[in-house]
Amino acid sequence: MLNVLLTVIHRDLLVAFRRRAELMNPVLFYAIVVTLFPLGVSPDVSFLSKLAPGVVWVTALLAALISVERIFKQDFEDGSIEQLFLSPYPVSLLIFGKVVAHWIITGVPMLGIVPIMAMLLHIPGQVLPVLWISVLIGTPILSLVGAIGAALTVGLGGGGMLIGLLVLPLYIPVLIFASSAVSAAMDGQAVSGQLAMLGAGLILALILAPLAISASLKVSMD
Amino acid sequence: MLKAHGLKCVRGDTELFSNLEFSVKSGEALVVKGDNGSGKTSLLRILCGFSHPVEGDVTWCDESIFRHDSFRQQISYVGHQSGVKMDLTVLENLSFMQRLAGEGSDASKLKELARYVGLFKQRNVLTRKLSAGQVRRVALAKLLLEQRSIWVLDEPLTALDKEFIVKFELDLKNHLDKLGLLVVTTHRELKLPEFRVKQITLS
Amino acid sequence: MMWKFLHRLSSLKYFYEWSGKWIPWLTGLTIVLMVAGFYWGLFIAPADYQQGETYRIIFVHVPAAWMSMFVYVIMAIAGFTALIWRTKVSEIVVSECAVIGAMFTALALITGMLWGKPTWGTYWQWDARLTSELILLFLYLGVVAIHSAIEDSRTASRLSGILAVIGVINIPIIHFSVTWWNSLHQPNMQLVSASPSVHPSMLYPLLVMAAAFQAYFIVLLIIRMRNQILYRERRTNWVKQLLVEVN
Repeated sequence: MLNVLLTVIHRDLLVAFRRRAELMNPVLFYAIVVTLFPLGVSPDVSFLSKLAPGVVWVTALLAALISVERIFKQDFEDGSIEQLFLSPYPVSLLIFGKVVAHWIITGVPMLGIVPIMAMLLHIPGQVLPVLWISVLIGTPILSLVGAIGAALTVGLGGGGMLIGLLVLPLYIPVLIFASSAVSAAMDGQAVSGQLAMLGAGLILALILAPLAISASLKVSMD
Repeated sequence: MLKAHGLKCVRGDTELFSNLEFSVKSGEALVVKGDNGSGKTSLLRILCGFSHPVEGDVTWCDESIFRHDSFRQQISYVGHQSGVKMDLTVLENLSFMQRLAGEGSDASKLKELARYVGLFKQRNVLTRKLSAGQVRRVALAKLLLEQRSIWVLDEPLTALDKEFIVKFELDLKNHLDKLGLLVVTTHRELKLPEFRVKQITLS
Repeated sequence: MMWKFLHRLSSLKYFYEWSGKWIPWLTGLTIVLMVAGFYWGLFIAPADYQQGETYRIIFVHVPAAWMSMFVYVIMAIAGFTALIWRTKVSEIVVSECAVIGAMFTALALITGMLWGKPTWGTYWQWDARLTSELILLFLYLGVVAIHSAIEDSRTASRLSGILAVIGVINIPIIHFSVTWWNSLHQPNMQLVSASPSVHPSMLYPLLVMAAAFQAYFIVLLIIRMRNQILYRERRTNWVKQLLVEVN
């Protein structure tokens, strides 16, 4: 069981690294969108740092959304999804492997870029660990939930806007608890409650999302 | 015994076929003929359990295949989209198929297989750089890797050269001799022992 | 007995014939309840001692808000049965509920905003209830959007059904997080929220209106479903025959 999970992760990472140039795209997207806020609103330090927890997380939501859209597209078009359904292993396990690979490709780079961009928005240094932990717990949820949207829209030509409409409302709890953890840390308050809620959300997503994804893919194949 | 009971398939606004009945035994081949768009691929996808017929049922050993997910594990399916990853090499593709089929990784077996399908020299080349016929060989190699009892093949001969077709027909014959079951669509003539072949034509 | 009936009901043709008999009765019931509820709520119920006459919008707002959640649950149950048993009737329930539910949600939002103007002095407040209701509208519109994006109507219905089931699991989580977020930012909000206990003289007309909305929902659902059934079965003999009889 674990072996086949690692096999799926390994294959998806291999495919991703064969297209190295695309790996940096989510990170660059993230950096550019965050840059827009000081330009569009105000470069004032106190104002920016007040806005920052929301900005870093709203942008993370958008970056996750656009990167997750294509997670099943290629597999759907080249017939790999059908082969997953013919294997003796549970489809939700194989699908879970794909989501893990997706998180390694897009979520892990976030762990690097988010603190840097947060500093540019004047989030104080001592808050960065909390921000980092919120990204660590939050981005896997974004990948799992986003993959449901990707599976629902995989049969459509261009599902870009549609997947946003489906997935962003489901991202709201992550946004609320994660950005509030960062704000609370900036105010010197306890953050364990928010992080615990994020953790609970992650567990729930880990249990339910693979089932929802495999059900959606099965219907999409029909 | 794989049996179709009154299958009906509708795609969009057109009815592809209805009241389709047939049965295939182990050791038999069902050759599906028909024009483009007559529903051959749709039929094969129904037999694999990927899509449901509008009416009717498919049974394997007298049980509906849509109620038993385990039925799918007896199928090797090679469709139009080959399921081969263009960004992986030949060996990487074969290795993934092997592990996904539930077998331990066996590098020497894979090399042997690459040699058998005539891709030994290209074994470390990205599939993207191969010709269409060579990609199809990679896809068909799965049949020998998985060793399952039901082979469902959609236009397997497309893009293959004559030499490989002869070899492949031998593999199909072996499969039938071992009491395997074969469902295949094809435009070209496929040389198989006649007493094992059943043919239906979709119109 | 019960199962046998449900099984027969899951055939589109049987559902069409069976539901046709109920429409006149249900329509009559809806009209009676609506008229009674409006008359009771708008003319008989006393004015509120704080909000005066403006509070009367709750006789539309509250039932609409209740229905917005109720319809989602019905839609999710139908989505679940469509996935498990592949029943065509529940597939149709999903897509029709999405449209009706979005309508009720929009009605609840609009009446909430109209009520907000005299009470809060502004049409929109980021209050927990309104925000949750707005997100609920987005969830409904997501189901409507995916349904209309996919060409094959059965695939479309089943995928919207999955989305409805996911949504129903998420609604409590979203509602909880929004309430929590709201309590963080606007601790004084509960002062202007609807009072927890409603006087019977206002409660009874409210319940009549709620019943009227329920009846209206059922009539609307059945009528919409019958249209959809005729469309999906347009190539079958029984629909063709029906059309001949009508002409």
